[in-house]
Amino acid sequence: MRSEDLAVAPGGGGLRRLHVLSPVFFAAGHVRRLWPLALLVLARRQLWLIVAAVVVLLAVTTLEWLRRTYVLEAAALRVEEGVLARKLRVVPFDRIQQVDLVRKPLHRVLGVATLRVETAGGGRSAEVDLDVVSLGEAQALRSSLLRAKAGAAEAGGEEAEAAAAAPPERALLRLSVGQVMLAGITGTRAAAVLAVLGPLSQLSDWSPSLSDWLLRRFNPEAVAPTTPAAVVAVAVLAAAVWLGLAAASSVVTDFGFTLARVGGDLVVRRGLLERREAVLPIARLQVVRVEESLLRRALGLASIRIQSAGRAGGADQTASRLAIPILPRSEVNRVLGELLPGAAPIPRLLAPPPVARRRAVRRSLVGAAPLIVAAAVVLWALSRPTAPAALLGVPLAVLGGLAAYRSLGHARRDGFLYARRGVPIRVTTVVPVAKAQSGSVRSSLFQRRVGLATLHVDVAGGGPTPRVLDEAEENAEELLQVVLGRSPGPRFSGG
Amino acid sequence: MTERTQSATAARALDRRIVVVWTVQTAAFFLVLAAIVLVVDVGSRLAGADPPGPPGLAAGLVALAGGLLAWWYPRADYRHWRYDVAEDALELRHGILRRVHSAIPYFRVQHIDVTQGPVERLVGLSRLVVHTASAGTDATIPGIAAGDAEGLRRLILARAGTGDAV
Repeated sequence: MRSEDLAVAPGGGGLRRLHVLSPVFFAAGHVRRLWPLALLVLARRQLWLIVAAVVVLLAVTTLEWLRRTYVLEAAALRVEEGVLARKLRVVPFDRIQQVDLVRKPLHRVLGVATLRVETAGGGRSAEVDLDVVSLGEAQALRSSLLRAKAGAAEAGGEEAEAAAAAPPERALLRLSVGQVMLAGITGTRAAAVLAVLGPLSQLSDWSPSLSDWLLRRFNPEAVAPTTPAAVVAVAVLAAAVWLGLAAASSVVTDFGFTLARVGGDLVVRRGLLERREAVLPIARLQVVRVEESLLRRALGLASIRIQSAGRAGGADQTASRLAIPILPRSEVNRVLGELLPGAAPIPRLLAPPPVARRRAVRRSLVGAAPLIVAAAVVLWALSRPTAPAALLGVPLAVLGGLAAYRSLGHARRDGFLYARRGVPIRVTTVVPVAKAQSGSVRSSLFQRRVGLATLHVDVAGGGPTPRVLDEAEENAEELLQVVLGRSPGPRFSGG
Repeated sequence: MTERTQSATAARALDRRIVVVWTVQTAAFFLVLAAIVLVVDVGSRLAGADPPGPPGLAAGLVALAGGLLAWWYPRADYRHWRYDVAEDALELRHGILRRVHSAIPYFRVQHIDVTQGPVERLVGLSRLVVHTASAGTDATIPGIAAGDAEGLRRLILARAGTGDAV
């Protein structure tokens, strides 16, 4: 009966339609899907044809709009649609994983929004898009969906109570434009820019006349740098452009990044042109990963990834919607405590036994061997005397292995397991033991020879499996008992 | 602590017939491999190439190695396989080169599949696959007498209860 009260709360429980402007957005969607046809119509350059096409399109989409209704029932969101083929979709509240509010630039001008309801289970069809509703309706709908959901998951009774009383919002983290730009410059985005520059270099395929013109203005042979100073200048310029683009792309997606807590939910807002607002019930949070690349560590920065129990297939997408692109190292523990209530600050980690160092070095050497051989072959082909230079890779690989060993570590505190590994990106994984689905201790022949084993903690959601690598076998077995929620007491010797 | 000693004593081995299944599967794999090697060998000779050794040597070696492996591997694997329907979790221990000890608390179990391959059906065995909300969970018990599988499944599900496992 509680959930019924909730369901009728947002403005009468009857059938509702999307915003009146929706047919226009539908039409735009159709045009985008049928773009060859649209181009064909436009190419005829006859006004009557274009007008007729627009009229037909709007008539069809208006019909679609009329047929598309949604209603909040006692325990489910029910969406009916389809002009010819009719479709009915019922999303039970307790299946809702996440509710996103997306506002594209045009949406913001018109005061509307897309509400995206994401459910557990695979595939893109696991989503319901209400495209578009008025902003007020979207917000009301979202809060009543999340409240109804909290009511459905009777687990947190008092939490649901608290959520029902329109909880206040508490900002946890806000990023300035400068920080967002820094995230782009120091992050993987700098690499992603190459993907944008790639197509630009194909310009000649797109527009031969333009590239001809460019060629006439800047003869490559005349422009090509000849002196060392010129080479340096070009390199510096290229790097500046590159980093500038990385910063800009970061600003486009993450401008005005805010992480806030509203009742039992985590809310993430971001975006310059397209505002995105993701909401994740905090109880659905499975794992938090703190990532520090070498560069970011030097600058005292880190980033955080959050894994929810969402869809296995689209987990990456969900994760990127929730990720914190950058934050000062000093803020990590505070944010961690907010994301995982009860989690202690990242403690001093226990290093694995010294025999693990040799294994780390060996693993690094084995991994680097093909690269070293390939480098030697290339150098040999270029000029024979330089081939031994490839052997420089060996000490580098050894150093990498030693660094990998230094990054290893684990700890457990108050129901949380902390595990760290990785070079050059050091990842500290924090798993609430209560979220572990299962666990295993695995050891290869080489590990067993020196008494080491690796603990895997299986969690819901699509991210990588948290691991404690190369720990002493009995410690790994003991950690497995902790993961299973059995006596976490003092270390016992026997097995 | 007592739990652990208990579970150590309650650990069960697989049904012995699984050795037959694994032997047949391994042998079949190597037979196919040997046949492919033979076809390539003979084919290249007909095409005029001259691979080292008499015709059929490579295929014979593959078949021999496969035969040895098909004899040794299933038996060694069988010796190392233990599963334990402990008080609060299903525990599996297996693996020859790569040893695995995995544990799945019952209340995390989402559903359980009982499946049979053709060879398993011939000898009357079933395979139990336990699923949790995590894709990483490794919980397949390969050799259960077909008559026992249903009972084992019901036992695990009864212990799993009806809580929300996410």
